Parts: sequence; structure tokens; C-alpha cells
Amino acid sequence: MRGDKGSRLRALLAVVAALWLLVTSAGTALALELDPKLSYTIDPRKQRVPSPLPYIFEKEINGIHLPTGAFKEPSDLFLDHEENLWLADTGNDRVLKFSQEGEYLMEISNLSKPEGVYVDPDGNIFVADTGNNRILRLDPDGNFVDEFFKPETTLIPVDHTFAPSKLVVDRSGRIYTLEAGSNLGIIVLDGEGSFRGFFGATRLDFSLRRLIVSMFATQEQRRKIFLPQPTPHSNLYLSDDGFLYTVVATAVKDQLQKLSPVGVNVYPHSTSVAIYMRFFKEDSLKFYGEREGAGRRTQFPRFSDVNVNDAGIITVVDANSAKVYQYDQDGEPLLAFGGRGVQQGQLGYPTSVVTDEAGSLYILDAIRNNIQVYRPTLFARLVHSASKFYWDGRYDEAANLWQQVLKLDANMYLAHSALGKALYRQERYQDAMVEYFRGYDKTEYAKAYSEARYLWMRANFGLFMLYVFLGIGAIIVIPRGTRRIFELGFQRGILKQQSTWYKIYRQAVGVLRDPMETFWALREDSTWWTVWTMLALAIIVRMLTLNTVSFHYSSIDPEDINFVLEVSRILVPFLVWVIANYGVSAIFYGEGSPKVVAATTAYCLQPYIIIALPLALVSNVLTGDESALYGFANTAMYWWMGVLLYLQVKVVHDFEFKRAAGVSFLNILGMVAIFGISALSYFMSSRVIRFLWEVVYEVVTR
Amino acid sequence: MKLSLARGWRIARYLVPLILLLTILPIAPAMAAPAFNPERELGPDFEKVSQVDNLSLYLNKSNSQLAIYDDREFGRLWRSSPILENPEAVSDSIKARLNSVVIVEYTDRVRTQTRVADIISDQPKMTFTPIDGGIQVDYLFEELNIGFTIGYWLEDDRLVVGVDEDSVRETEERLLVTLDILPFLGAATNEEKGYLFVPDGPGAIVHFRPEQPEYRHNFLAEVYGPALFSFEPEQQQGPIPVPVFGLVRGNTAFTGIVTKGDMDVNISAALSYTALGYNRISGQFIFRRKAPFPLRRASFVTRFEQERVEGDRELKYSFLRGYDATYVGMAKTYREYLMSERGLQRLEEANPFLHLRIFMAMQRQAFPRDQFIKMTTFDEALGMLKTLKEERGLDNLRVTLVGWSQDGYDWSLPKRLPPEGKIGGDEGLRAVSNYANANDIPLYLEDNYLFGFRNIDSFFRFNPLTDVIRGANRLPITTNYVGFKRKEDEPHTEVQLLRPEIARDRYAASDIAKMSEYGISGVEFRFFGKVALNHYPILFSGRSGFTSGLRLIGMAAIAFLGLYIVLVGTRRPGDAILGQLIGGPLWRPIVTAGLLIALGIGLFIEIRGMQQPVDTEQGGTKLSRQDFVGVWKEIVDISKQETGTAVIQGANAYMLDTTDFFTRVPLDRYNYVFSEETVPFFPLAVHGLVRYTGDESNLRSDRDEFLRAIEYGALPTFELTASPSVLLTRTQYNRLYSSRFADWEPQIVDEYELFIRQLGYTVNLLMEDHRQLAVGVYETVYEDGTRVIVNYNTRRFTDGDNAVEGQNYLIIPPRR
Repeated sequence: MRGDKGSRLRALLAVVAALWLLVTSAGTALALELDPKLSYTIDPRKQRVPSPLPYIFEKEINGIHLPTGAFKEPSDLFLDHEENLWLADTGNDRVLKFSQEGEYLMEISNLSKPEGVYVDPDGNIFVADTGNNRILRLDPDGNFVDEFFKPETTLIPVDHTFAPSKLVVDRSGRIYTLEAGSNLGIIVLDGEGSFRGFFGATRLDFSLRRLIVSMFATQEQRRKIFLPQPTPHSNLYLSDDGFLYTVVATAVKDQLQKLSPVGVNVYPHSTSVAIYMRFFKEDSLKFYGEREGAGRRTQFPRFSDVNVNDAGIITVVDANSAKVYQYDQDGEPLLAFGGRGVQQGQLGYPTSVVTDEAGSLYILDAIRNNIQVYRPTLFARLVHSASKFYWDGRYDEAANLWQQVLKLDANMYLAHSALGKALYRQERYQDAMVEYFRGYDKTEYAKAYSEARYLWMRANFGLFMLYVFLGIGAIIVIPRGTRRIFELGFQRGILKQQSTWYKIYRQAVGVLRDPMETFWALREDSTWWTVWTMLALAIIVRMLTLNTVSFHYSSIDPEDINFVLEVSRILVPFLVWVIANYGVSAIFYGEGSPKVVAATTAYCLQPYIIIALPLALVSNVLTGDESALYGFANTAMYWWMGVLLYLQVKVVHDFEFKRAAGVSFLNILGMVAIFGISALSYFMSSRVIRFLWEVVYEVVTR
Repeated sequence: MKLSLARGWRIARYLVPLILLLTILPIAPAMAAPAFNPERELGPDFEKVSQVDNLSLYLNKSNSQLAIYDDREFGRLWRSSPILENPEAVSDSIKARLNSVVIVEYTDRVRTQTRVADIISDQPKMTFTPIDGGIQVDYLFEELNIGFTIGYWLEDDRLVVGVDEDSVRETEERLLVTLDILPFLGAATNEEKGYLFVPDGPGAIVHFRPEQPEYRHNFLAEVYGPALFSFEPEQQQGPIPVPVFGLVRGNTAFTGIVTKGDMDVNISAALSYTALGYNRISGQFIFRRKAPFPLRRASFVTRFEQERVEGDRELKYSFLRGYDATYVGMAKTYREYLMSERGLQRLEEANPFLHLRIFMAMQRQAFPRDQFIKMTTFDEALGMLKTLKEERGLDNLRVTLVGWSQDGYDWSLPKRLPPEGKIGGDEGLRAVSNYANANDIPLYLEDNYLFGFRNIDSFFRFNPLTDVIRGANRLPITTNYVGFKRKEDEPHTEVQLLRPEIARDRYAASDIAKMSEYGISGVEFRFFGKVALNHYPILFSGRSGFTSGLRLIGMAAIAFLGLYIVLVGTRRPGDAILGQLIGGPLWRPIVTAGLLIALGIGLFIEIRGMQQPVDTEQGGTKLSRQDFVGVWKEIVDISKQETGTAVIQGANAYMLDTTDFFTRVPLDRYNYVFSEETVPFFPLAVHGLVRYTGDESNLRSDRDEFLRAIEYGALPTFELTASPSVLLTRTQYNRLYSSRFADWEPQIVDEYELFIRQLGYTVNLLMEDHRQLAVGVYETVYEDGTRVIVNYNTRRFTDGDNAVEGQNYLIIPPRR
């Protein structure tokens, strides 16, 4: 097919334009409409969506106009049962007590760099007197009661200095304390200060290196080899129902944990599989907060404190990005705001956060040396109470509130899913599907769909049977129809028996019916047109598949589809297989020429071409429970292709059974090698390319 | 009653001194304190230069220090440098700094570091020339070879300070960076009561207190926002919409207005906790800005630009006393300036209105085709207007259509016409405008004359090399589309910024004329009141030996390859080239032809390049911010000519004289931590001169923002759609998170009732006063006596007869 002159000229111009854009694409970026009011929610695709401001800066407490004078590097904030604020003013070696309004009430001095303070419901004060390596217990008036030094136990190394930094005390008087930068875990002491064990230590991921070291290295060697250590907790919060919430500062996963009274993290945490999967799929880790920047400059969150309010909303402050994140009891992200900056409503270096009964946030800022008070807006209050009702299982009341939330912010994904749940309970499955779709909740969507499908089938059983028959009919008719079309073509004289297209058709059918025989025939009679046709068909099928697969079965969203990437997903493996196959079998005296290898490999794509699209179509009527069926068909398709490839190697090169298996295996090794070598040469040449690019860039832009 | 002598005497004994006392009392202070004599106070070093009305100007010729005496009641002696109470405690360098009337920041050839020179330590040569009303001082820093002339003169109760462009002298060795004139004018210690005023957003003040937190010690921000890009997103500033600053000291105050060179000035302020020890504020003139210059790709070094920002510079100081010595007085001074010198006029009629933005459509990236998202069709927009007008009886409306252009919101820029067919096209828009015209509803179309998209399509529309705005580093400035990054590491959609001349000549001139044919009332210009940039033309310096050599090598390589393929690459050497080209495999002639064409193009470019002089600039001329804004104003004029009016988004002061309606004016949110308290300087200055709206009512986070709109005299505005906003969730315009017309209709009616029916008559009134009645309770007073009290607290506020419920407002009409 040839286009007219104009379109070809336009295509040429487009290519020139593309090159031109490439050359001129360097520039500096400018953020024109950046709104300091940066508040957003994180959607299930880990993308930011703007939301109304959840909190508004109200005032600051900085001690400057009080008898206390300015704070210095304060590191901990605590709100006691009478709603008084306790502040560990680390840099000034003291602990201060303020009323909620910011009036100065009390000071505890004679401390050394205290980093934590806790007051129990009876008013007893516990101070982590970090610099003096002790935990101090005071009565409600601040008089000395007791002090606890390093507990006597063999579990803590002798040379370890005990420097408690954060602490909480549970109802039975047990003290849970953390040490800054120490990976011993949460140390539990009883009311007398004696050691009761460790609690909720972070788990180490499986590592082959560690396994080998621990199997073979001697004690002495082990000490010399640096091994990864479990990441330490950075802060903890004890909720009234006895759960201990902790944050882990330097981890790349599971940064927020909710520990049950026996020390088990109840949040779904990243499994070892997920940890290895992260190379393939970024979202497989249970990740809290956000990564910022890319590549080597990626910055991970550094959570410095966690707090849970009466509604069960978990508030976390991230010292690295100076942002405040809120999660619901499921650990799903609700709201985020803040950010480092010079404006009110932004933060410097948040180290601690507490919430009071009215819902205000008190955030301790170690750069600005103040406590910033944030008042919740109507939006935040609605989200919180809706989330509480939802968590309590009162879905219908929650739905009502979520609806109000959605009126203020249609971007609230969680609200859509929650609303979907309520609709589902009301058996309005189709509406529920819409809401689940908006909430991007694929599992629940599939559930609602299954109900909706059941209802539909019950109502329209006749129609259903008709569709089934039509489907069966199609399976029968399509091959016959194709044959009939060719026959008609011959009769009318449009096609000739010897034409390439007919030959390809016959060979394709042959490969499906009797692959051995057809591959053998192909050794003598193959054409490059086979390759082009099959690849084109495979690419078309890929594109159609992406657009027809149902929402709950799709792995990629329409806006993320990259044409070039999708095409290369077909082309690259094909090309590499052909090269590897030809190369390896040439060494083993295989008989296939490049053309034959390429053509036969192209025919091996047939199962994909035939099955993928119908399967995608069928996925639209499959529910979540039937994913096994879908998965089976998918797997079968790939196995079929695998078997065809094996037969291809065997027949085309005329190997016997064993040798063919060996060569196939070597082919795969060869593919890996080709990938490796191209990656290597890319890395090596990329410097040269970059240098050349810079020269061009300089010539053009300077 | 019988009056005995003794009794009379007894009374007189008390009465006489009492009478005497009563007579003396009023004049006692005058007797106690002899009349203030500025000459005596200043000492012999100062001599009187001039006197205009109530102001006298004194000058110390040894160091050109100034003093201004205001002899009105409550007037005071303003010194250009503070008198040190405890000179021994201050180091020499700081003393020198404090005593300088001019502080010069300069850089050297490398242009990375700056150093500071002042009058005392560097002892410039000073030449004094008397001028009308004052004196001109020529400063020449001999060691640095930097010189400039500053005039100080009195004019209409104002002190004027000016630097002429012609008088600035410098060499390549030492380059001027900033010039801070009168940095310590009226500088005060914490013992005095007072505050600094900075024009941060609507305005902000910071009080003199014994202590302030450290992050509030310094303030430096460029007026109208940064002209150059900053790499750190944290450095992004809120807007500084007006070039005004001020300082209040007891019951006196001064305010400085930058009257010339306001595009290139920093507001620089410091509190007394810094090393210098005084609360001070000044306008710091910029001569060179920093920019990241490329070393190689993706590696930059931040240097000052080579070329100096040119133009005259002038600052006018007014001195306020007594009741006027507040931010209100400053705002009134600025208002007078706007009216007398910038030609702003009072609005003749109140003519209040509710502003409605209707978002029509946009595209969302998808596969295989982008998805068109229809939020409101023209029909639906018409329906909204009919509902509001006919069913709800809202007569005073103004409407802006957003995203009406081809392919919806911004998608095809710089192409905008015709109106998108899927939402009704030509006829649809005509129907809306006919209805609007018939019912006296002004209808505007929002338009964007800054963006141009980089894609294959736009290649045919504008040249990404020469038609785009480039920074001082000559690299194009690109922007995040809409600005909300979906992910922190997401590569932004590249949008190029069109040069204003290109926008004017190629697009605005023809497009606005065509738009006016639809019968609209005007164009609403996005960015025009928010952004002012510099443009530097692209520099082709490719004729240097190195690059020429490189090109030649490249072309030689191409030629060699071509010849190789034609001659050697054949199986039968010696065959005719022509034969090879025609016969043989298909790819060979194609490749050969391609290479020959490339060679030809290369040669053509090279030959053409040789004819050009070294270092040619292409892509227009250099534009300063002033020029840039000038071109944009011409675009606004086109709209005014074609359609009668124009609307500007944002309200940077340079646009104030172009039209009388401004949208999305910053009323809140943008407060630096430096500012302790937000004050309505901007509303005080312009209310009654122009009409303005703040942020959209349907996107408010809190009732505070509603109260703020009442307090600041803003008109209500909504941005609405017919379809639910959830359709926009996964698009680039998801900032519109709540917009369905049906949801907001009651609120529109409510706000109309309040802002139009109750408060509407204040729109053309000047604001007379604004003050804080209690913590969180503010009162705005209009010139006719209308008082609006706003209570941000949750508690009820009572003041005499007036009680304001928590989170509520009270309108007290004037007494008749």
C-alpha cells in the first residue's frame, strides 16, 4: 500500500520534527502554578491527587514570649490525659509542660539531652533522660520517685551504652523504650526497671549472602563481615486499646507497623517474594509515605513520629520531606499535606506529632524550634468520622459521610470504594461497580461484578444461552469461514493458489495441526513475508488485547500504555530468540538458515495471536473467582508456544530429542547472554553516546 | 447664702491655683520642652539641602548620610542611619554597614560569588550637585571602578531617590549585582513599638518584639515573583503583587513605593536579631540575577547573568504620622499613587456581580486515542445561565468559559480556534453568547497566551528553537503542565513558553479578532497578572573553530560513508554509480539518497552559517521583564479593542491600569513565615478602583476562606461543571475536585444574596479603615461608613451593641 505524496511528505517532516525535538529538548524547568497549598491524597496507583486542605495552620507555641525562652532542638511531644502538652526540649536539657493553649505550667530540669517523655493516666511522669542513660520516674508534681539504668540481662551486650530515647508505659506499668539508632528493638522493662524482653523487632529479609555467611563463617569471621542489621524503630505510640504503633525510620518498606499485644505486626507486611518482586513491580512492597526523586537520588521517607487519634486515624510525620501523612486503620493512605518550605502550613523538620480531642495537630518542628498547631478543616473532620464509622463496620452511616466527603472532593478514592461497599450491601451491584471503578478497587469491583452477572444471568438466561451458542458457533465458523473466503477468492480469480498469502495461511494452519510435518516442509519453503505478517498480527493483537481486557483483569491502565514499549515486548524477545537459536544451533551443526529460523519462530507466535484476544474478550464476563480459568488459559497459551518452539528447534535443525532439549536450553542461556551483553555494551557506550550528545547539545544550544 | 470674707478667701486659696493650673496645663508641655530643633539634634555635620512644604532634607557631606525632618504634628526626624546607643559594642564592619546610605553588592569575572562594598569602608569618591528640591550625589568606587549617581530630592511631601540608567558605570572586572539605597532609613530597635510591612500576598506585617523565632529574622523576595527559575521547589515563593514596603515606628511611619524599576527589585527586610541589630526594610535594586548556566548537559553552575538589567530606578518615600501611621495609611498612600500617577480611576458604579467560571472539556491521555472528557457542553452552560437567571433571579452575573477551545483545555495550544465541536462548536458558543448578550451577562473566554505544547503537531506551528522563552542561560524555560505532579519522580509533560511577540503577532492578533465574532465581551488572560519573565534570544555561536571543525568532520564522515556505499559497498566495483542507484537491492539507493540529502542540507546550513557573523542571536530580541509585560499589555489592548474589555488572572501591580476586573487575586494562603499577620493591604489599596475575585468558592477548604472574602471585599466566584467532577479525577485538571453545578447551586444563591444583594453596594467604595477588634475579629470600614465585622473565632464576639456569632460576620450599614 502506498500513501499519497502529501502524507509521505508529512511523515518525513514528522520524522525530521521528532529528531529536531530530540535535539532541542534540553531546558530548565519552571513550576508556574505551584500552589503552596499542597495537600493531596495518594491513590491506589500511588499517584497524587489534589484534595482540599485538611489542616489549617492556626498558631505556634515557641516559648519565646514565655518564661521558658526559646526551645532548642526539641525532639518529643506528648499530650497527657488532661490535654496538657509535654515537650522534651532536648537542646536545653529540660522537659516542659504547657497547657493546650500554650501557657507555661512546669519545668523538669537537671536532665541531660532528654529525648522522650511520657505521662501515664495517673499523672506519673516518665522521662527518657538520654544523656544520663536512665529512665526517670517522677510523681505528678515533678518530684523524683525512681530511676532505671541499663537493665541487667545477657541479651544486651556488655559494652552497649543504654541511651533510652522514646518511651511509653502500658496500663500494667511496663515500660517500652527505644534507643536512638540502636537495633535492639523495643526494650520492655517492668515497673521495677528489670528487663522483661524485647518486643516487635523488625525482621530481616532473607538474604543469600547472610545465609552463606551464617552457614560457613566462623564466629571470628562473622564479626568482621559487615552484615545488614534490622532497621531500628524510630518512635512508638501506645493506643488505648493496647496496640503499639511504631514507625521505622530508615526502611524501604513496612515503615508503619501496628503491633498487637504479643508483638506481631498486624498490618500486611511485605513478604520475601514481594521484596524480590520489587525489581519487576515497584508497588509490590507495602510502602508508606512516598519516594521522592528518582534513581540514585531517590529519597526515602524518614518517619519520625506516629500518633493515633480517637477515630483511629494514624498520623505520621516524615522528617525528610517534612510532610504529614494520615492513614486509616487499614493502613490505607487518607491525606497528606505540608512539605518543607518557608510558608505557614509548611514545615522545617518535624520530629513529633500529637493530636488532641478536638482533632488539632500539634507538630514539633526541630528547625523552627516550635510547636505548630493545625486545626482540622471540615473536610478532614468528615474524612475522619467517615473512616471511623467504616472501620466500626457501620457502612451505611459511613457511606452517608463519604458522600459528603465526595461532594467536597471527588478525588477521594477511598470514599468511592467505601461507597461502593455500601451500595454492594444494598445489592445495587451495578452502582457499586461504578464506585469501585472510580475508587480503583479491582478486587471489590470483581466481587460486585460477579453478583451483577449472576443477577443478569438469572434475568436473561435465554440471552445468555444465545451468547454461548454464538460463541461456540464462532469457534466453528471462523476457521471454515476463512477457508471459504480463500476458496471464493480462487473461484473469482482474485487469489491464486500459488499466492504468498495463501501459502502463509496454509502453513499457519499446518503448524497448529501438525507442527512437525509443517516445520519440516518449511525448511524448504519459507518466506520472509511470514515473519512480517506474524509480527504485525501479534502486535495488532497485543494492542487490541490491551484495550479489550476488562478492568478487573487489566494490569496496565490506558493512560500508561506506551506504544513503543508494547511493540518492543513482542519484537525484542522474537529477535533475540531468532539470533540465539540460529547462533547456538549453528554451533551444533543445525541445518536451519536464518530465514527458516525466523519464519518458523514467527509461526510459533500463533497461539498468542489466536488465544490472547478472545481471552481478553472473555475476561469481560469473568468474575474474580474465575481468575483461575483465565490464568489457566493464559498459561496454556504460553506452554503451547513453548512446545512449538521446542519442536521448531528439533525439526528445523534436524536434532534428535535429547539434543533438541539441550539446544533449547542453551538457546535460553544464549538469550540471557545477549541481553547481558547488550546491557553491558549499552552501559559502556552510553558514556560515549552521552559525550557525543553533549557536544551536539553544546553546538545547538550554546 | 452669706459670703464671709474669710470663707471667700478660703475658697480663693484653692481656686486661684486651680485656675492658674488649668490655664497653664495645656501649654505646659510646650514650655517644658523647647521646640524641636532638627539642626541642633543633627549637629554640625549635616547641612540643610532643601525644604518643600513640611519636609526638610539634610545631608552630611562626609558620608552622604541623609536626614529628613517632618515638621508637622507628630512628625519626626528620619535618619538614613541609626544613631548607635552603644558604639563600642559594635564591630567596625557592622558600624560601617550601618552608617552607609548605599550598599553595593558586586561580583567579578567568574560571576559566582558576590562581595559587598559600602560608603564607610570603601570610601567612594562623592561629587555633590544641587538639583531642584534636593541634591545629586555621584559615587565612584575607585578601586572597583563602579560608579553611579543617586539623586535625593523632595517632591510633594515625598522623598524621592533615583538612579539614572546613564549614570551607572562598571567594567568587566567588577559587575554590579544589587544596589541597596537607604537600607537603614528609620531603622528601629525593639524598644520602640512598631512593625515592618511586606507586600506578601495581600500584605503582611511583623512586629518588633523582644524576641522572634530565628526563621523570622530575614526576608528577601523579588517583587512580582522570581524572574528566573530556581531549582529548589522550596524556594518557590508566594507572589509579591505590589512594589511597596513600609516601617511603622510608634506613631510615625514611612512607606516606600518603587516607582521606576519595580520589575527588578527585591524587598529586603531584617529584624534586629541579625548581626546588624536593627529592624530595617528597603527596596534592593537588582542589576544581575542568578541563573544556572550549563557546563554540560544536566550539570549546571549557578552564575550571575552577564548583561546588566537596564532601566531607570526610582523609589518614593512618604512619611506618615499619627492615625495614618499604619498599614492602612500605607495602603492609602499607594492608592493615591495609583490614582495620580498610574491613572487608575474610581469605579463609577458599584455594578456588583457573581463570577461564574464554567469548565467545558479536556482530553486525557489514553491508548490508542486520547480520551475526550466532556464536562459541560455549550448547551449545558446555557442551561446553567438560564437556571440562575430565570429560576433563581440572579441578574448580576459574569461568566468565563474555560476549556472551550479546540480539543478542550489547553490541549492544542498555541492553536485555540475553532471552539471544540464535541461540546457544541460554533453554534453552541454563539447560542451562549446570544443569550448572554440579550440578558446583559458579560461573557468571557479564558485564554492562555503563554503555553505551547511540544509535540509533532506543534512542530508545524512554532519553532521550539526560536519561538520560545529562554532564560539568562539561553535555555528554553519549560513548565510542569498545570503544575501538580502526580508523582514526585514523574517526568513532567513538557510545555514550552511562547515568546510574547510570537503570541501577539501570530496568535493574539488574529485569534482574538475571530473570538470577538462570537459576540463575547472579552478575554480572560491566564498568567497575565501572575508571571513576568525575561527572555534572552538564542545565541548561535557555532562559528568558532571548534564547532566548525566538528561540523566539517561530521560532514566528511557522511560523505565518506555515502561514497563507500555507492562505490566500495557494491559487489562489482567500477559499476556506474547511476546503475547502482537504479538497480540492486532496494535499500541501497534509499540509503544513498538519504545520505546525499543529509550532506546537502549540512552543506547548505554550513554555507549559510558562514555568511552570518559570529554569535548571532535569533529568536527575537532580549526582553526585560518590563518589555515582556509591555507586549502582554498590547495583547490585552487587542482584546480591549476587539471586544471592549479584558479580564486578568492575578493582580501584579503592573497590570492594574489595564482593566478593571481581576480574578484569582491572592487573598490568603501565601504567607511567608517571616510574616506574623496577614493584613489586607492590597484590598485597601485597590478596592473601589478595580473589581476582584479570590479563589473559587467551591474549592474552599474551610469557612475561614469565606470569611476572608467578606473581610477583604472580594466578589464571589465559582468554577463549575455540568457533569460530576469525578470525571476529572484521573486527568491533569484534577485540581477541580468539587464542581458539579447541581451540588453548588444553593451555595451560589446564598453567596449571591450576601455578596451582591447585601454587600454589593460597597464594590465601588474605597476602603477607609481596617483594624483588629480582638484576636480573630477584624473590622473593615468603607468610606460611606459601612462596617463589616468578621469573627474567625468559634466563640461569639460582643462589642457594645454589636454581637458577631462565632465563624460569622456582621454588616453594619452606615447611619443615615
